[in-house]
Amino acid sequence: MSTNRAVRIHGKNDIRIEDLPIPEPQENWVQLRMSTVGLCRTDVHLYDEGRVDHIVINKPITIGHEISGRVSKLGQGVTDLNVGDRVAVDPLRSCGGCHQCSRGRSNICRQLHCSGVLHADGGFATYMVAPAKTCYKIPDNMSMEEGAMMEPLSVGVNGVKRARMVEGDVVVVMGAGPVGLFAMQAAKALGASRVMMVDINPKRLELALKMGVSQVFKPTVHLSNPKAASEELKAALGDEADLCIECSGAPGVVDLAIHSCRPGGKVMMLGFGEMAMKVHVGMAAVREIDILGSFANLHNYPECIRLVSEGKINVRSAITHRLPLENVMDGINLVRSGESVKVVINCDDC
Amino acid sequence: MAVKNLSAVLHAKLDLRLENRDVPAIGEEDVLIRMGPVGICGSDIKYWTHGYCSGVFVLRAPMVLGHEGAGTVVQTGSKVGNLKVGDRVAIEPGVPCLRCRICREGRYNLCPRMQFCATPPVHGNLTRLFKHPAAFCHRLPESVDLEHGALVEPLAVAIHACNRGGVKAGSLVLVCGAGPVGLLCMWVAKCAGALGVVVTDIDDQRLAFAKEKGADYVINVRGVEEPIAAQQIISAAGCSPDVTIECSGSDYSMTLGIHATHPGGSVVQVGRGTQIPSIPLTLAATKEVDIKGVFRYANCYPTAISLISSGQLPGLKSLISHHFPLAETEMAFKTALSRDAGAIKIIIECDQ
Repeated sequence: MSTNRAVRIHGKNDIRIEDLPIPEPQENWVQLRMSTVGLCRTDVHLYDEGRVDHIVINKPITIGHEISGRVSKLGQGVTDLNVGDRVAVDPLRSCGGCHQCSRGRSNICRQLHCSGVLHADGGFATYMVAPAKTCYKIPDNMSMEEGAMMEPLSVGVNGVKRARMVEGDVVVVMGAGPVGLFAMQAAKALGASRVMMVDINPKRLELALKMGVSQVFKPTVHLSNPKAASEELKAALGDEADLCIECSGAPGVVDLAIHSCRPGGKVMMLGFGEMAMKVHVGMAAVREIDILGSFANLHNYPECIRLVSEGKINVRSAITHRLPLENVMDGINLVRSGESVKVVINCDDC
Repeated sequence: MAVKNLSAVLHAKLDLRLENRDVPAIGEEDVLIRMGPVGICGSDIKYWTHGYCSGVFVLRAPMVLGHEGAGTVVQTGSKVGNLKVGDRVAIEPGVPCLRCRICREGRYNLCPRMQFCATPPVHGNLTRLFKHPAAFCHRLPESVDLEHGALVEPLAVAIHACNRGGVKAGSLVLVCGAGPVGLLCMWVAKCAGALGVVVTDIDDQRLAFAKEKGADYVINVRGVEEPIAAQQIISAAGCSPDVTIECSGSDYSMTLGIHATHPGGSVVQVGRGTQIPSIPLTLAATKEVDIKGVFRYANCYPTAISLISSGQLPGLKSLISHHFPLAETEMAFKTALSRDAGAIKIIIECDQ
């Protein structure tokens, strides 16, 4: 391949598949031949809004942050990787020197770059470059597709850890999309006594069961009455939750989570929906239910790789659609439609 | 012999009566206390004006008010080992079961079988003679007078709030609301080693008082949009707060806290505002700013008494603005409610 075919967002509703020069790796970086790269709701948001929060896209960026690839060239000084190595790439690039980085919270680094999202080109391309330290080798028994799933899995694992889930905890996950399915499995693998998956879509609940959830629940009471919906949920659960992981971003679900927790329990927000929402903080306060957020991942790729290669977590079943790079727009439409679970883009043949 | 036990009893919303009740008989693990000073809290006022509080507690039968009390032990049960007659005590009003899972984890403030003074249906201590388990009566050292003893309860709330928020040496703390709870949180934050405290409010007088009592920066946020107020706070202090402690009961301040707090920090909610406000929760979540409510306190009384007796809270008594004898309880409540009175903390003397 003599050119770099890349999917770039130029601004709101402006997506172009372009031929770019092939990037060369700087010192301590590597060049990657892209393989499978997952499509995420964030990508759809970038296309629809042309921004991420207050950061507006004012110069073109190659998107794609759920990345797997093969090392194709080594920059100077790279000793831990070889050409041909199959890797999963952590899109987060922290500065290493700010207050957040030095206290171990590099995912909220003051100058965070996130390839495919913020200030750095990502993986929907033939080639990309990345710091060698963000590339994690995938064992032979893991496919490149599974490698691409390390990113959404790392979000689930980070959520469970940030929430300080304790072994034996009763966990409820709301929203059976990829993040919810992976968070559910992470909770199980990391010691929850049981995990319930909540969704309004029966097909997704079926998939959750296939992926090993202890129990599924579809509320019959509308979420405009979260208290009543939570009574139903707790009756089905037979208990109050120690931890609720909210992965849907849908209105009303945070309140359902608050009402379903025991006093002293926690609600972990992984699903990001509307910026402002009505939240029953009064109820949360009187029961000291903490409302926590978790952003992306915190150096947990090795653990995620281990969990999948040891068969403790199944990420492959979440992939429902595989598309070539040229059809990325179909992928975006699929994600928007809600018909798919996880769409991945194959960059191998481009 | 009939001993009059004059008590302030709330019969219904706005129906507060001074009545003689029976002197309670103590059990083997209880003490009988001659009540001294008892402070009034926002929740007492809420029961008086509305008949309910915090959306969950409702008055259904006559109840003695008051839970911020101190007094002198006049009788001890046969199994009481930690107290003797004549000891002066700060009364921890909440008695948990100490057997359930949450009690055994140490968070007894969340015990589902909690018996808490002046939370229906449990009687409070605005009374002459009051019975309480000795284990929840904390002896005051010689250097701590009864008036300080009555301030231990709200001080415990402030200590718990600072603990929940993770306030420690070097923290920059934002306190929203310069009422008594906000001032107490400010002082406790400083005792915990905070490098500075910013206080916001919409009342210049309260802010002036806060500045006089130790606030490093005060900002009047009346009419200022939250993101702009957040910028003002960060500019004034030179960096963003690690912890915001919301003590105003306003939804505005929750939003302000979310905008101002440094990523990775916490917003602690002490004040009680709207049950279901609209807040930028997604912003909080993506910044990993945790939202933690506070419900009373657990294991904070010893620390509170220590802070007072070691002289680390010299300004504590300046919170007390009014005194009333027990017979004038209703007047005390009216004063608390009246804006003109300028009340901060009102004390009712139960032995007068």
